[in-house]
Amino acid sequence: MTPSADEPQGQDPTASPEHRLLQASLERTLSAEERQQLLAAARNDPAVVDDIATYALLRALRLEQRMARHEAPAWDRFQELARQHAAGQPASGWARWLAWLRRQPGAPGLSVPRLAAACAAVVIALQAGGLVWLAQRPAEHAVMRGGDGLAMCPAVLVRLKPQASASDFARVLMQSQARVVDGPDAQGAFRVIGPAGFAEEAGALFTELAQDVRPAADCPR
Amino acid sequence: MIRAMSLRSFLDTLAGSRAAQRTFFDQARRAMLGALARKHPSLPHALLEDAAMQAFEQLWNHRIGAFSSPHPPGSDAFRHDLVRYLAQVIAPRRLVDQLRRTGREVPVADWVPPGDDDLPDDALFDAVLPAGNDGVAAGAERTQLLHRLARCVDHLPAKMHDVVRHVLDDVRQADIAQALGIPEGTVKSRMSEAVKRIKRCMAIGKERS
Repeated sequence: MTPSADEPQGQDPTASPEHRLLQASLERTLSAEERQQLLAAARNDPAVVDDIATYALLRALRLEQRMARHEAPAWDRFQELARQHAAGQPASGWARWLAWLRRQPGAPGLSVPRLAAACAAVVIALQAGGLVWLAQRPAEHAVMRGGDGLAMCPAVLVRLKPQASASDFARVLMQSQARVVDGPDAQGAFRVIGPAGFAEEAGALFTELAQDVRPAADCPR
Repeated sequence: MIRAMSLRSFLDTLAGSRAAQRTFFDQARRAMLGALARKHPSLPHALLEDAAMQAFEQLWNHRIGAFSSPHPPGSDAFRHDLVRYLAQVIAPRRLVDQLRRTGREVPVADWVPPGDDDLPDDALFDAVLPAGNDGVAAGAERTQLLHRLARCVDHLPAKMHDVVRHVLDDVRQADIAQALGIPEGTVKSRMSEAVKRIKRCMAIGKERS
């Protein structure tokens, strides 16, 4: 689309300084002086107030469009978080456990000693179960994870920076469809497996979070 | 402890209702992104989305610190308090963390301390556009206003419409000029003219004339 003969070719000479500032505000933050200038103009001229409002509306519409573009993945993630909460519910699970105890015969006014005894019984049962599992668990990590050696590849060893957070690590893992299958080892490295091509991309994926990322030596190159 | 229990009870209820999740997600996300975009207009939107999502993660992991509300967890007032807290405290913190982590400087010009953000355009902006997170009526009014604006943009003459659509699609003026094969000054003058027409179409300032 070419400009008409009556349209300017360079800067817009007809635009007021306030208009130019408002146009600039669509692309950058105005400086304190520029904002003051705009505010002073708005005090003297109601038309500038209208212009500011119009640009504000345009910015709001632009934000709506940006939000719409990102909405589907954000909503999926939010629902996933809600599902995890519902499934895990550490605190409400405890509350449900207490409620269950209270529903047991003869327990409407469950006393503290009886509650403590019940909790102790649960802890002992869990510990006993854990000991039995430890005694019988498979020795090979590949067997423990339910796969053969090949299913553990492509893999990389990731050593996280001290300031890296678990949530960031989890987010990158989720985005790259990867998962931690072992670690941390003596050097503090986690073994992470992912889809085909993952080992090549892992360096870039974990660049913000990891001190170093190495391909696992036991995977084919 | 009571505080934590209130939040937990709110989250338990929220986790059990998809409709409630949708309402809360829409309100909180809009409030967070709106607040972040006002404070950091020149940052890429994807960064703001990340910060908002991290705030949600923090919320679902019950790690939002000192939040408290005097209202019962099932009430609208509690939800509004929580949305406001996420938008004004948690999401900005997550954004600053993210900027630091990714090696970006927090632009001083972009960083306005809470309570000191009375930008003139925002103050005026609030007068024309309800915030959207303060109740159903305000949200509906805001949506209606933006629909009207979208219709006004659609009715612009083709040349102006092209420029405004590009602006709304996040294209910079220099790139619009290149895309449309016109000088940047022409982009600006078309934008100025478009704004005049949008003002008329939206009847902004009509009551004075």
